[in-house]
Amino acid sequence: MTDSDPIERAFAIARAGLDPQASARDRVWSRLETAFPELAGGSARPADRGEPNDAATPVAGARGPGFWRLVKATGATGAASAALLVAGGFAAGYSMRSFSHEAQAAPPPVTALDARFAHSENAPAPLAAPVTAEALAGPPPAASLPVSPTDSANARATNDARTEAERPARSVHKAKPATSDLDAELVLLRRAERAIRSDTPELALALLDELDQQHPASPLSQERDATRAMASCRSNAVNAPDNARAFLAAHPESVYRARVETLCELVPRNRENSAQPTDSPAPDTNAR
Amino acid sequence: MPISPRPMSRPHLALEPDPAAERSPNLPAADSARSQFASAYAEHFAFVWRTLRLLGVSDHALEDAAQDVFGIAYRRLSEFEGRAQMGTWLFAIARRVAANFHRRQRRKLSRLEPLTGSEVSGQPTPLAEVEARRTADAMVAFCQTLDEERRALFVLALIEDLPVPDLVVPLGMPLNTLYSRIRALRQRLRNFLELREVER
Repeated sequence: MTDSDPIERAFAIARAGLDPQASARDRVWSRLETAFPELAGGSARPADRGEPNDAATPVAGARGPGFWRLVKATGATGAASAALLVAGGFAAGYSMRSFSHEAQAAPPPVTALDARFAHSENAPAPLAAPVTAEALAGPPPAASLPVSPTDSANARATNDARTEAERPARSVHKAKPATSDLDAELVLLRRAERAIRSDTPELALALLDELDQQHPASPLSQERDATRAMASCRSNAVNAPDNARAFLAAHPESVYRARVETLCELVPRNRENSAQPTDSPAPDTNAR
Repeated sequence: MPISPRPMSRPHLALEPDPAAERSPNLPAADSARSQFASAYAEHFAFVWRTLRLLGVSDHALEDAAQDVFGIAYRRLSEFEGRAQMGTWLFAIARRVAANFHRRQRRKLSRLEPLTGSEVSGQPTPLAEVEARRTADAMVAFCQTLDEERRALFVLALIEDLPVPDLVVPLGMPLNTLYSRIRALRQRLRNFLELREVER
């Protein structure tokens, strides 16, 4: 088994997805203090002891558990995020094609126990190598797009110009968790990215406009801005270079920087090797 | 299946003797126990949480279940005595708590909760968050297809990446059986994920 084993990477990613939030840990501790008053106060509080998993405290700019610090440091996050724009299939999460081509799994490694029960703090070995876009997301067929009926309904329902305040009145939307919003947005974002790759940047821009209408405030704003900058450049819009520079100025560390620079021809190709941040994904040479 | 304690092979995973207790061994050790429990809680909370999720405890019940696990652990801390790894000891408690949860669920004739996957840590990008959540959901769904023994093996050997020889005693299976089951589990997971990918 190697670091490049997609199954191992899936495990590493899954661990992060399974990890609790720091707030959950604190709430449970508070309840334990209620149940066992002798636990309250003093130096026994885990938060006072600098426990390893405390990094999950959601402070802007200071990332959560060690996994996130780890994947950021190893570039895995960059690759995972870039999978959307580079390969157009981040939702695959793990490339099943890669799985099929893997050799039969060897017995699990017998490694040191140091990182066993505190994955959030200690770097799991499988992430030592960055998760590549190829491994994370091959180009999925259009039919594999996770468009649920509800997502489609949401997309249709938001074609009109209703305000954000009116939108929650939709019964379908109201009954679903917030993740559905994100899923619906991701579907549109992926379509926009594919439109760029299909050399139909106008369609991409239209989809992005729809996204702006549908989700004016989005946690995926950086991805959206990057896609817009690239679509503008693809369409040879007059203001495209300015848009791209504005994006790069707003997100100097973006994982999409290299791709935006390349598509918008902001950096000569012979400078790319030295100018690219180390965590930037390689430009997708199959983009066109 | 109860997991019997075994000799501690990794001291740092067991409860470390509290220096105060060593200095005053005859004290009731209330402070020491409190301090040790807090350390164990800090170190293993995430592990217990992940275990409970993989053992099928619904998201809405996770905090209650985690409270149960650590409540039981605190009450029985004196029984622990460092003879086993704290992780496997807590895992054994978590299994029982999860089993109780499922019994209660069956009694209520509740339908399975949807896999909302809302329990995600802080994240560097939303895409990575979605990635982690979906992968975690896939693992949770896969776990639900396993029997109890294989689920325990999956959690400890594959998710928590514990050394397989360390699982011989806790899981009560010969080493070769463990290896062959792990190989089968990995292949089964591979097929499961492939099928899931095709259906998406």
